Amino acid sequence: MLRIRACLTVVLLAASAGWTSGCGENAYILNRSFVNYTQGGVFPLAPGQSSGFNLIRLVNLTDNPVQFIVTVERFVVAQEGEEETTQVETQTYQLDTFPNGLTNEVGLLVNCGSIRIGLGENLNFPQDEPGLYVGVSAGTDEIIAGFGVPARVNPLDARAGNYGCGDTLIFQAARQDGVPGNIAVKSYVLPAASQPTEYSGPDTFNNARSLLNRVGGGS
Amino acid sequence: MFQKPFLPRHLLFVGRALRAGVRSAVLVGLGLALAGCDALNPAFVEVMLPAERIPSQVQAADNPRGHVPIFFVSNARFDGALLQYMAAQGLDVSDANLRPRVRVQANVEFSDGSARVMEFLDGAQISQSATVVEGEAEVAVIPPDLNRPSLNNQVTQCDVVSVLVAPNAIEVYIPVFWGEFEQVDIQDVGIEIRLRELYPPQFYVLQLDEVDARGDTVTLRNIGVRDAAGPILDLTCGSVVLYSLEGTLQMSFVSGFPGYFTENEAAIAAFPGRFAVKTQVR
Repeated sequence: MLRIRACLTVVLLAASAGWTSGCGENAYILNRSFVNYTQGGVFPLAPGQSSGFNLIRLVNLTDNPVQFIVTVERFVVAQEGEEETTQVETQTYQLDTFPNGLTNEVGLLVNCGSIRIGLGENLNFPQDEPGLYVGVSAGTDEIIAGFGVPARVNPLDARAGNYGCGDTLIFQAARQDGVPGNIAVKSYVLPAASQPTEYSGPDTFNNARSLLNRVGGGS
Repeated sequence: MFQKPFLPRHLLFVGRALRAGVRSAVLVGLGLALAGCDALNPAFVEVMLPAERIPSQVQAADNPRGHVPIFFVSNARFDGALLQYMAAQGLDVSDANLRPRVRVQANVEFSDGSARVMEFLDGAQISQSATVVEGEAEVAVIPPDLNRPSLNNQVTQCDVVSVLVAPNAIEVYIPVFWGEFEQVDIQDVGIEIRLRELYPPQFYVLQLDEVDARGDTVTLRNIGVRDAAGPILDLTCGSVVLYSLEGTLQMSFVSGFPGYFTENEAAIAAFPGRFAVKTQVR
């Protein structure tokens, strides 16, 4: 009886180890950032302060094409007559995601210095302003035309300490019954400070900054 | 023959209770340790715990293996004569770093067989809104892509198999009205220049040079075959891809108005300038 129990324990341990270290796309116990952290860092998942970027990830876990309406607010100094005033400049991006495999996510790098980042053209009305447009069919060549639904998630505010330079901001849309459009959005932050400082693979975001500086492009 | 040692029943009970306690303590400790490091996949946690009981520090989005940022930068310039014309038309050309608006589509294929098109926008948002030709006012229709903020990068998750910018996927915005002119020989008057067709400001697809079977250039258009964007294959996860459009947006002028004569095939083929795409992967 004891031997049978010992054998069963070994089999279960081996199976769970395989399950967690197999590292497929979903449904594993351990988060990839944790695995990445424990194994010493392979690829950066957050840009890091030295790159001067924030990464905005838009993740579509629904069965529909979803266009995310991402707005970035930052302070700009404007000249009004002889006086300099500080105004809030908003930039709104439309980014498409699809329900198929690795096309279900897209990201955007924005320069550090933003004050709020959220979904919808007007970040003051997250409960009313359409934050995403839900399409009805998938395809690489199709333009997403769908109905707009409010994201119902507050924008992330740098001044409130929600995120800092170099962090990754994540907006994840998933199916949820009982809400308008049957889609709910959650926001997350992956702080750069939680990431390793050295990587065995390419240093993605610092490389991106260095390339941009060389060709003279902003972001 | 092995015999189980005899123990009093109450000692057996205490032993079992101790083992169960230690096992529970180890499991709880492991759970707390993992939760403190955001180690648990939220999908897994949600299965195990009702939503209202999930501690906030455990909530996290699933992370991809890595990222591949793809950039497209407009590094092209306006020709000096065109800049002067634009300034005369009231367009703000004071920015010393003024670059033509460019719209580009890239096809991205992933390792799981899925694919998508990514569209990039970069460059100035200037456009002539109206002009007067032969006493009639012509109004431009401003496309939404001119007023959108520059979108010079998008980030994909790994693994990317290929990135391809097709030759006809690069469009440059011509910010002024231009015309097609013809020369008409009128008896007793001489040659008169007439406007045959007026084009409003618009995005214009750049064309590759035409080459013959030996690879020699037959017709010079906007981009040389060696200056086109080549496909990028088998990208290492974590790489950065950067395309930049170099060159000059240039227009000829007929009687002080941007345009060309209909019989000037070379000018039509080369309209609106010469460009090159530089591709870099790091």
